[in-house]
Amino acid sequence: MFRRILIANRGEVAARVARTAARLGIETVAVASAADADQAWLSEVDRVVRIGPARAARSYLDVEALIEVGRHTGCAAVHPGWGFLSENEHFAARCEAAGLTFIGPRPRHIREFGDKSLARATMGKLGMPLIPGSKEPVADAEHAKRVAEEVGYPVLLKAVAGGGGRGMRGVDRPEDLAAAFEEASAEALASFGDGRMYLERRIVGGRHVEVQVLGDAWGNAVVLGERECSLQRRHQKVLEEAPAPGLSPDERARILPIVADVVRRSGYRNAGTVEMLVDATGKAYFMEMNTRLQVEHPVTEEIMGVDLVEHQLRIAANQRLSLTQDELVPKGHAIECRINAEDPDDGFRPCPGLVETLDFPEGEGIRVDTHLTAGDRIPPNYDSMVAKLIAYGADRSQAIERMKAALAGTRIDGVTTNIELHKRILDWDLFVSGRYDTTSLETHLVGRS
Amino acid sequence: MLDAVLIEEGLGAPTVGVFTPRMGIGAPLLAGELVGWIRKAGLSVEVRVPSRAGGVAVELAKAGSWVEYGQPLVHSGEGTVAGAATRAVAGEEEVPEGVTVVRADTDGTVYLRPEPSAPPFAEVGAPVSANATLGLVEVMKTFSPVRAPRAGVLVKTCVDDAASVEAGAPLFWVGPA
Repeated sequence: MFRRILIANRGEVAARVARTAARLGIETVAVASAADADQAWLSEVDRVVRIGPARAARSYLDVEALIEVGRHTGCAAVHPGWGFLSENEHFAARCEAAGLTFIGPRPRHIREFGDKSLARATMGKLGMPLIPGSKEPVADAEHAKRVAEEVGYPVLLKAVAGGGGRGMRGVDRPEDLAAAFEEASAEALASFGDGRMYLERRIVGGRHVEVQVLGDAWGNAVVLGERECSLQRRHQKVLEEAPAPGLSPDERARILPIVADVVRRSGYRNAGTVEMLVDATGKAYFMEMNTRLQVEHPVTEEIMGVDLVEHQLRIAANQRLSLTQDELVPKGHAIECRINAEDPDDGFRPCPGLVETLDFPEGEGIRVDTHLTAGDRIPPNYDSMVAKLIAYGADRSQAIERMKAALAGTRIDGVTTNIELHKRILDWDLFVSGRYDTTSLETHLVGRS
Repeated sequence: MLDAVLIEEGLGAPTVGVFTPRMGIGAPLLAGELVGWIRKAGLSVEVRVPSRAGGVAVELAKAGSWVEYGQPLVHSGEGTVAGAATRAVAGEEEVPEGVTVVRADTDGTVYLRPEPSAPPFAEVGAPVSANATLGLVEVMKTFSPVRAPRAGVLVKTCVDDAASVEAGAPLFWVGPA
């Protein structure tokens, strides 16, 4: 195992990694930008290096600076956390070249699974179900029309180079396709310098279900059940749970072995998440893969009784996976609420500032993941995460009851948070029924305002 | 090329790495002058004197020393550095009568120009109309305009472009036309 690691990140994930490392007796070096230098949690690591100014490009995204710190402080490995450089193939390769083990997948896996069109091709070849659509980019509106007839309306036009919804258009009727194609392609060309388009069937009212995977350097791979992340606002997850109410036992029994097989055959190493879209008939299709630890990983840890960061560290140190598929049976139910410093009543405006009070309840089945302490300031430069509240129960209704109690007992002063929104979600009949989809929360919020 | 950071002692390192000084003791701290180099992971970066520095180099960090962000590279002697560092400790200036202070309503990063190469939203000394955009405040990638509370003249900007500010910090002075 590593003697000392660099945590190339900040905030909640940096504190999360430091906690497991400390438990395993691994020393930690953290980096802090000028905006983060006073955060209280930094006293828990063995060394803090001030890496740069608040601007991420010159601190948490500065590849040379991070590698310099790792080497100078005698680290053996680098944990990238999530966001920032965690899915950057170039950073992973630079770490390895500098003699620092990257605690994550091989650079080539970051490329193969991180690039959306390459991932689709790779996954399809390995046997993952894909949303029916064009195998190659469609050349023009006429070509798009022919493919659309094959896959059936409604369809979705997506920019090959896309992201953040730009260059994306839903089309319900054949007569609207030509205009939508020209518009989306022009937008993609302007945004990404690449006007090529894909076309696939549009899944309306789908559910976002994702599968947690681990693979080691010895060709072993396991799946650790799935998570439901359909409660979203502008493609941002708000609340997650595991197991997923949106995945039927039959579909779970069909899809999870396929995911395990894909991971094993690709030689994928470390933690990853295969995101899927489940249509109204309950059938799951590959959407994309995240080659890193996810924010919502605690719900998986709770129902599986594992520490995913520990396995990330062990796998990176070339140890064999100590988990077998047979013993990975989910037990109970877990829910995670993302507590953000934002105002849901004012368009989710971010509300950074001084956290004056930060009190969370303690109790059976309640877990709080946070890096903050009362007196810390949430800087305006990064994300608005205050904490993740995780409730575990023997079943879903017990997890809901415990989460309600946890939210009621939470007190945060100084910054506005979305706690009231979470309370409303937990009382919302559609959530309680488990029958929500990716459009439900936004529709519900619009209905209220 | 990076500008050194203005700190109380003088000039601080703008990034991490191994420092090699170029400047000598006694050299005046003129904007744009080469202080030295910082090497990080094989990449060598020039470090220059930022604007609003002043005084002379009294002491320099040793060649080969490993520095963190903000760690002193140049000691400039007592009271010789003007600008951000001293501005921050000086507190708020007295506001002349008739001047309205426009303050940040949240922690954030203030931008005085729509993009780095563009002219500022408003020029000091120029008339501004009520509700005119004076700058932008960025909070977690969300940008909101800072608007003039009334018509008048922009008397002063209290911050530099891309400065970090806390809620309540003075940003602009708007005076009578």
